Amino acid sequence: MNTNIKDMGSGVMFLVIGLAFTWNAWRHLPLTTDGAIGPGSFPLGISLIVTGFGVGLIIKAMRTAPEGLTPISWRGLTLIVLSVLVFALFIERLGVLPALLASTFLAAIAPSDSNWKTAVIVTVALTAFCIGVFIYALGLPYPVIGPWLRLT
Amino acid sequence: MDILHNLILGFSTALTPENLFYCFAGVLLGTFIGVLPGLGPTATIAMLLPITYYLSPTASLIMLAGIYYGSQYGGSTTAILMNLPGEVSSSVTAIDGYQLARKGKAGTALAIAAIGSFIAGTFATFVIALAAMPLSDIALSFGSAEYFSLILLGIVISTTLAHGSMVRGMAMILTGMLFGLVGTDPDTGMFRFTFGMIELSDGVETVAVALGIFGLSEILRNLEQNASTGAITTAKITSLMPSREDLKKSAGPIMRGSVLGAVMGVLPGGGSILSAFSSYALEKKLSRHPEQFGHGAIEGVAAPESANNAGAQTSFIPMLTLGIPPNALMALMAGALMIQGITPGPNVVYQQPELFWGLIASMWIGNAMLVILNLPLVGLWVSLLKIPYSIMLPAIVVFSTLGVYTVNNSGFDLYTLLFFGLAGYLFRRFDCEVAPFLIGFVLSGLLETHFRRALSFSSGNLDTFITHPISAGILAVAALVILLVAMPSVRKTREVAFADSED
Repeated sequence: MNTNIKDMGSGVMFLVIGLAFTWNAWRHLPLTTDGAIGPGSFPLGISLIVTGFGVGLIIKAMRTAPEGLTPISWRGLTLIVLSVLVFALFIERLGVLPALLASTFLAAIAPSDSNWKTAVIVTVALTAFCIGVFIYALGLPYPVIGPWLRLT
Repeated sequence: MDILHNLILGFSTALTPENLFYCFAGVLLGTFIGVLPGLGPTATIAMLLPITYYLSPTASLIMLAGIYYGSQYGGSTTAILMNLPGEVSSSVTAIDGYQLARKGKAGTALAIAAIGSFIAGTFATFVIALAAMPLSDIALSFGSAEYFSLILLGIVISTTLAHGSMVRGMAMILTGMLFGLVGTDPDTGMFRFTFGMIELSDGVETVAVALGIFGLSEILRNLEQNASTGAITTAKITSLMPSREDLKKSAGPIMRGSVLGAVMGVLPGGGSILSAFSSYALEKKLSRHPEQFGHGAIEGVAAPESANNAGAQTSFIPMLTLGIPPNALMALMAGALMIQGITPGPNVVYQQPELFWGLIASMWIGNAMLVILNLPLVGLWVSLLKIPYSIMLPAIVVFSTLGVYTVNNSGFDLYTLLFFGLAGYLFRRFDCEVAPFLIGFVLSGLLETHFRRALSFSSGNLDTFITHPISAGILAVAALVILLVAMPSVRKTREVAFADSED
């Protein structure tokens, strides 16, 4: 089928977001409270317009010439997502040091042309810098080594 | 004579060794955290709030103010060099500043940004000194109908900013507005769009949204291409200082940016962000070669950088004279005053003249310090460009992650960062600019509040927006802007202007 992926993709995103907010506003939020405009009206109005834009772009997608997309770097995408996730999971349990080491390393090997040696050096340097600046200079109250790694 | 007397009082207060020291500490820290993406002035000021208890009220306000406008200088540095706005207000600077850096004119862009900021800062200092009272009287006379129309105008103007399709720009603003409404409804206390997540009851964290949709998505986009050819590493520096031609081109935008920024800064919800976006749109409209905007027009750096600095400073006016903080950051400033037992409001000028005028004088001194701090050090910032992308990428990821975490010490904010990083990545893949999203996100709460308030005064009658003359006038301008952009001839020009903007 002759479909423009860029129009279709953005149309679907606006449609999904618009519908999610429309449904939520319709289900949970009163349009008026005691005669005055309620918490639902304003967002419902906007979400309906967003939904409309979504529909419009999807229709447009079927009428315009197809366009190619650059391929996704699955390696990069996965490693960056993991880098943030690992930080979120580690910081409170294992502490800032392990969180930074793991997260920086995952980000450092994300580019397809990265090499392990540089990644290790970058990881150590950045971790040291972050701990120096954020923990010692700015005095953020996070444990360098978290409760799960303490021996006592 | 009164003003002269007040300024003398201000400078004699600001020039005491103690206040000079805290002014310097503030602008230095401000530049630093401005360069660090993620750790914004709001988070820094929030962290420093408990410390200010041990300072004098004047010293603490001088320092906190220095962090705010100092971060406007620093924020532009990362925006220009890495396309990673250190602050939200620098995201417009990134559009052309980064293109200039790619063309090897990073030094020029940085210098123009610093010069523009200084001129705007000086101008804004005098604006506050001369017009604090009259301006706040005007702002005071504005009702909700006028505010609603004004915010709407800002939104309309910023849609003309969006690259490519206007439909996409409009849809992105509205989508941003929807996410901006997530949280507790201020009127009824109901949870809206929290989708069962209690962490969302205070709304979506702005820093996480901004860093996700700008920072993380950009990294994912860069990873699509071969990372070693990443744009950041290829930029070459040929000249550090702006040429006579660049200075000449920037003079007008700096002047107009200063004025527009100073006006926008006073308005609630305006501040540095709206200032930067509006002045960029204005310059693009005035320019004889609008097609250069988005491809490294020096005017696109000069105008928003001047405007955001002017706006940052004049946003003190409503907080200090009316007691109404126009943005989250000013709410923290008001908090700093209250810690000291001073209620922000009209009485500050009369009961604390040293504080009021000392703060104003310190802004000018601080701006002078910032130029000395930034211009000779432009070379140092430029040297950041020599760092290969394989180092920059993990640094950006880690600073963003750690930065987002420091705002609320919340792991949930990191999931927010990821969500908006991925959403921003998809939007970019489908040719949707992400800047309008953030505008909508930031402005929607205020827009809705004034919409509802105006309607409750008029008992639900929508006429209220056109029966108020000022509101009607602003709406007419907004309608005119829409008409102009929708006109076939303008539309064609616009399409040509954006035609080769896609990479």
